Amino acid sequence: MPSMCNGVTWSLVAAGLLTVAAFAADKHKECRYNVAPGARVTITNESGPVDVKGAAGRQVVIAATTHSDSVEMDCVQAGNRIQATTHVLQHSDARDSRVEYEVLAPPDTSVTVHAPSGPITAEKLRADLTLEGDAAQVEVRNVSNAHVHVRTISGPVSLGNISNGHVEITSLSGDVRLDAVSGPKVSVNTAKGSIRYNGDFGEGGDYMLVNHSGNIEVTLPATASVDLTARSIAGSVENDFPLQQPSHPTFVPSPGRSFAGTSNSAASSVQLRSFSGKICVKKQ
Amino acid sequence: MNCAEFQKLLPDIMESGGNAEEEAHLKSCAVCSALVQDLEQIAESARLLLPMQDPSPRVWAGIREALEREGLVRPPLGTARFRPQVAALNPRRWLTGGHLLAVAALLLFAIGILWFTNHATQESRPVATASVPSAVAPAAIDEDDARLLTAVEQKSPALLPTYRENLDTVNAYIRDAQRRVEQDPDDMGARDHLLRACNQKALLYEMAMARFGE
Repeated sequence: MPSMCNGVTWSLVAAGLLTVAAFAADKHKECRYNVAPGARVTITNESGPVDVKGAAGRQVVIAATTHSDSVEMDCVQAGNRIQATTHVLQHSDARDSRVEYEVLAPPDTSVTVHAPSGPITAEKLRADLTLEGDAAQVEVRNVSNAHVHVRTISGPVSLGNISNGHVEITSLSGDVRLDAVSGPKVSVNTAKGSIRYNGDFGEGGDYMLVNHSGNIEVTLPATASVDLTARSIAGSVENDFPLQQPSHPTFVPSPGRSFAGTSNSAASSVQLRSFSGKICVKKQ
Repeated sequence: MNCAEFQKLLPDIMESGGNAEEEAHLKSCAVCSALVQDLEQIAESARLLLPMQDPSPRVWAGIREALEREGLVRPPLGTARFRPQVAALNPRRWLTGGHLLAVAALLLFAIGILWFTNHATQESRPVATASVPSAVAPAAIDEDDARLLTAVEQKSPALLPTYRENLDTVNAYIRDAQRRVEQDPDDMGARDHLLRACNQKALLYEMAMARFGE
């Protein structure tokens, strides 16, 4: 019995030492820069998350946590442009090459993020956002008066509470979800990914949601003011929303494959296009 | 010199030839070499098609009248200057300017355009010439896919399944849209899907080259 207790004790001690060693390897680096309105920040992170938040003041703060000596973060400022880049000093496993970024910036800062594995999050900003990641999950929240460009290969994309946005999302197989996203131009293109839109399409915007084989699901309130067309070439369409027949139809609807209609003053143009997926329009 | 730097300078390289450093990179990099080869092939094919795409003066006059009717342009005050303005959008200018060649993302978009044109012209050809290889041979695209996957495998093996799966996905998209356009050449929706599918493939290449091109 005593020998068993000794074994357990030594195991706990060893585990503790390993944990301490792991945390001891973590390094935190922080860069602070004063910027003028309209600054640009570019983050390039080979492995790990990038989290960008709008914050009061005129300072950009970039904090990075590394977990080994095989990577380092480098920050530079040139005028009103700031660049933070992860440099891989020697190739190592996923954990050792991982760097976590947290960025605080004035809301009017344009932000570009390249983070292949992500996730990438951005919120409380009102300037251009360009977010790219191969498999990165991308999430954008509470952004207004901004160009939002998101490109992923397989990473899912989620946008919420975006107003007056020029939104352009392209993903091959990532699912795309838009909640309360409105603006003059909203465009989503996926191949296999599904597209979900939940909101009222704002006032006077052009919305184009297109995919190949994924489903497109749109849920909108009765107050939505839209001129909506939906067509699935080899898939199907379903409509549960009360639409009026347009006075000047742009195409002849084909039952089960396409439909068109307007509601209220038809302020926004909404085009839903799928090649072989199912398009479903629902009332909230 | 890495791939990103090389591709940034590609318009000048294509137009005036590269220096020793650029040529050295081109010789040592299979990805950039394949890209240049494809772009040259596309540019050459496009030049051959240009005479067929150039509308007659009557078409320009019709476009001008329609735009004037819609109030989108003002009638000319003196000598008609409309055609040169519209000609700025004419493919002849950007194809010979070389700037099109700079953008790898446009590679597959151009393939889509050429495919449309080729398809349209094939319809009016005699049956005997129908077996002439198309302006863009599908086999060339397959070779590029193989090169891309090889580059991904060498630089980041863990991502190989993701790239392979998404290449399959986008190729299926292109094939479906192509078939549909062949069945119904007047289906503008299918044509739009084909262009979007080509753009998606361009995106895949662009992202891969930005990451694995060096």
